[in-house]
Amino acid sequence: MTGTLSINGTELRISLRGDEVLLDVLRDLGYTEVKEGCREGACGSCLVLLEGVLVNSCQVLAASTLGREITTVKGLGTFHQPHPIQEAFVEAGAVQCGFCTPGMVLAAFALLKKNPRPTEEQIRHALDGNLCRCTGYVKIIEAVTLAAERMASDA
Amino acid sequence: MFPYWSDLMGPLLALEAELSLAGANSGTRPLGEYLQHRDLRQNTLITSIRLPDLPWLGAYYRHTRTPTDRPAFSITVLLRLSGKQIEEIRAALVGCSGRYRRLTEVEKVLEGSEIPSDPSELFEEATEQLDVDFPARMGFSAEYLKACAAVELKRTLASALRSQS
Amino acid sequence: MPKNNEPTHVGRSTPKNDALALATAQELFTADYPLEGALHCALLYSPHAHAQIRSIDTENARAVVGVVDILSYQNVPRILHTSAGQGYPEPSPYDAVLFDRRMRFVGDRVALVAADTLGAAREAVQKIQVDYEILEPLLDRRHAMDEGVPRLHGGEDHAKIPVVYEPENNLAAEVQIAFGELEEGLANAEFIEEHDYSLPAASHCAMEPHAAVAYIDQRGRLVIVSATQVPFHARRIVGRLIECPLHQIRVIKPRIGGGFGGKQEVILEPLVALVAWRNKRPARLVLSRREVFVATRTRHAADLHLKTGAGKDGSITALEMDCLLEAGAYGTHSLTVLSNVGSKVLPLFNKIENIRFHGRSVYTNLPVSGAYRGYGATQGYFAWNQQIDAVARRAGQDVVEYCKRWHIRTGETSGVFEALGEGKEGVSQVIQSCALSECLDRGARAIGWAEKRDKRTRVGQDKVKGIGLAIAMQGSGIPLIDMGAASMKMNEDGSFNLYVGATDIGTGSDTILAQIAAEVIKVPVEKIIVLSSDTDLTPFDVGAYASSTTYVSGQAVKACSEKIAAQILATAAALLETEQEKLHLEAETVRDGTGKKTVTFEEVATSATYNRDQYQIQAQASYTCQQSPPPFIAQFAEVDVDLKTGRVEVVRFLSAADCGRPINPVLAEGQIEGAVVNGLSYALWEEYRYDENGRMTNPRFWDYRIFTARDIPEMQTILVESEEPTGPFGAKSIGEVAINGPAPAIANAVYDAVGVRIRDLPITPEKVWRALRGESGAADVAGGADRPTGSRPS
Repeated sequence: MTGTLSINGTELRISLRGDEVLLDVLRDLGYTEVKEGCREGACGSCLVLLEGVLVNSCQVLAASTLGREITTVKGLGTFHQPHPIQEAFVEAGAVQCGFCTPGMVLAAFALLKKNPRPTEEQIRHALDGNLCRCTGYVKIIEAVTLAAERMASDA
Repeated sequence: MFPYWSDLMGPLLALEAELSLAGANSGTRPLGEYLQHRDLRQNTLITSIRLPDLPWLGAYYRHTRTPTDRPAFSITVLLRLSGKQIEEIRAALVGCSGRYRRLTEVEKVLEGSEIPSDPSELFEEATEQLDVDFPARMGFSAEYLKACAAVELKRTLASALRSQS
Repeated sequence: MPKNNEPTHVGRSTPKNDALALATAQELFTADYPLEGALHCALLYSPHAHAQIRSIDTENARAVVGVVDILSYQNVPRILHTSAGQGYPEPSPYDAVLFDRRMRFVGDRVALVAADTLGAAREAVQKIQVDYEILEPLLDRRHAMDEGVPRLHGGEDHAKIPVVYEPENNLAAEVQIAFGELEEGLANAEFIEEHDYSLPAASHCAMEPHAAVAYIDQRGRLVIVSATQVPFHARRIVGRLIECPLHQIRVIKPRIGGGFGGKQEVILEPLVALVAWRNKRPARLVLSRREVFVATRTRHAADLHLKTGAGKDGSITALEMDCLLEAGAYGTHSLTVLSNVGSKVLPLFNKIENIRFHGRSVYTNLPVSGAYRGYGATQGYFAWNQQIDAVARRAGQDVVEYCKRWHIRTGETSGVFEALGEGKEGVSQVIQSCALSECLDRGARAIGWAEKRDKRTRVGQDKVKGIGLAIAMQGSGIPLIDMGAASMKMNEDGSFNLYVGATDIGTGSDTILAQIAAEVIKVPVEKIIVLSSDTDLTPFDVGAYASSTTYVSGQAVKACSEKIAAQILATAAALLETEQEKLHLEAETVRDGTGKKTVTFEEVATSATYNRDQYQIQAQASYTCQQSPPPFIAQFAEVDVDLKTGRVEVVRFLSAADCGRPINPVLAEGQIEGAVVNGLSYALWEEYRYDENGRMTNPRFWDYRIFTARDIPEMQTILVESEEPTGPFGAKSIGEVAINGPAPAIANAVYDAVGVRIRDLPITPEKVWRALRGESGAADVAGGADRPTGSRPS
């Protein structure tokens, strides 16, 4: 089948067999910011936003996403124009190896969109689908709190 | 990883959901009957599930290894009070041997009972009737799951009572 | 203007120099590198724990469209080696070849297919037909040395250095030391605590699965880009294995998604190198999570038996430690992890006169153990801290005060340092910095030790609160063995390139080393451009292990920076026509005491590059640590235990750590926090489970659970400063020590709460529940009765 994928605002025509998962299609197209950590929907490294909803791209059939807006972490911010959440992660020391970071940033983004003033409990719940083995999560939670404060004062 | 909506069977049983079927078997059947009779599943589609909107007290418990885990078993309790009397009670256990069960032996003890100010003895008496076995699962032994089911049933009953608001 | 001696960069929580690039996914990991025309590799693994391959038929596999190469014992030379990323000659036995005919665990490597697409490679793997002669497997480490059990190794397998190695007895390593008179010490004891402890294998669970790519560059040299903690060891080992001269090989480490010891191995690199070298095409191999669980490395499962005799006043009169480690199918790191069970634990209470340590690592037909953060200390401390807790209680003393009284102190030494090295004699050292008592005091105060200990406070209806302590030390590098080097050059704008072999695996070592250089040379950290871990461009470094980077590589960077500073001063002196001794460096300028004579770094560099007595301001330095100054830590766990179900909830966890003067406090905290959460997860949830055929039954996150953000307790980290005179700006390392405390602290806290001891990990609710019911096993019930022989866990 052929169709159009819309990724970070860019439209791409692709042809699919039909059984590919979104993770592989995105990485093959060069969106390597979407990482493979487990391929079982447990680690969150492959998170993307599908029409604003957080999904593990390793568990989503690419064919089901044709014509629907996909956002990767690079759709939130870039190196030269980072999103406040990304800046907060840097400042709070929440980035060690960085492999989980794209997924964490997206999960934080999705949370703050729904709930701009989350409690620590709510942050922990929102991130419970993102595994990290480097940081112990402490500074990641601090980063999201910091980002919430910043974004609230900007708003 | 496992949101609550991934494990609905307990609440559906307690709510006595009804299934609309189409195909080789059609019409409306209670969920309990559907689960009991395998032949109802042959060449049959479930086209809808109807849940009553019961303004009862209720509680749900899932027994997991970790907070984001799938459950080894779950307990659902629904009860309707009239003053201090339990008019109706439904308790569903998912994950035991045979997989799904309404705990009718427990319900019998509690139905019609007056709830004392400290209900723990009443719940203890009701739980003593619990006659259920488990397969070993997810690193838990059968013996341990059985013991936990009894403990958590008591706690879930108490939880349901507290869900006044 | 007065000289400012306060550090400006060291001791600052400078953000990591790669943090923004990682947060915006600008940085690439190994699997992200685009490779034109690459061959994709897939592996065939043995389904049997122990088998001999009679034959392999690859005809159907080769027929799959796109298949280019298939490797197996049929076409790859047998070159014995160890995959351990260690210095040469490695202390691990040479007991492995790339493709063997003997399969030694479910997951051992049978064959590799290289194809134009991953799909074709995987399809071909399925079509390889293997005829196995199935052999009886050895699955119980406790019987590995019995008569008549299956032998895994022999033949030409050998140890590279003179150590005990008896493959005919399934013995991968053995270590023994003794001091004083153990029997006498035990006889003089007022009481004895003797118990068995057990820990399972665990997976590092670095979020990035192992990955490596290889290609031939424009000059015909082999370039390997790999998620490795040990690029220089990888280069050496690959060169030997593919019979390619070392000078034709370049190994580059890009960003790595975590290692924790799991990537201190050379596993994938020789495979992609071989494919690339044979086929003159790039090769790519990325493992799945399942493959990482089964076919890379694990923590060594361990059984420990500790016998501690103590006097009435609690002083320990004798300590005997017996340890059995499970090497698994191959002996990588088995001698050194074993040595560290003793060498990192026994010196901590250095006044014990009568000590015996006896350890063995044995082969079994199970997944391969290797390096894992903590490296034997974790196993040893789980047992040791519970013994100490029991002894202190029995002597009627508070364990915090007890530990304060007996731990090793600044100015003291322990015979164990010299007696236990890593495959050879150790190195004697005198402790020059130790703030452990302060760690204990501050930690105890912060967690409310006095208010919670021995109180068994009720929480709600069915829960009881308890609090437990564990202490630990580790090391900072391997003395006289670990070497790191640095080179620097100055650019005409007053910036510097810093080249280090040191391997940043997410730890932030690139940043820390830049901070050290910036401190010496008096420039902003951003003016130090770090390039690390490229065997063509950077000088040697052993790599990221043994908590060596801050201490060893840091000293190399400091020494190199001092040479650079001297050159700057010399050039400036010429420019300013004054004596060098009158000048100092300050904020990117060189100035004299009066401030009247100044010249900027830019002016100095421009002059040296273009104008006058031209030379490249550059320097290099190496450093081999002469000792291994330990970081110390005191860790406290507060738990609520459900009396009815045995569930243990860790409510608070506190670490008070002495790593000297932390170069970067936020990064040091990050190391501690990450290690703690890994330790908590290992204490409560993690274990490798096998079926009766030796096959791992839980190789997925679905069933191998690790902590999420929702599971962590309230965490507190206190950095307690000391001054390590041999460390760069007083620093010691911090990468590992914090993983040692969580399990024993929780076990001690559970005992405090409900009076049962769980001596085998993980501490599951069911184990606590059974212990509370008084069932026999590894736990014993409060009463602390003297037991002449501990019971073995089933």
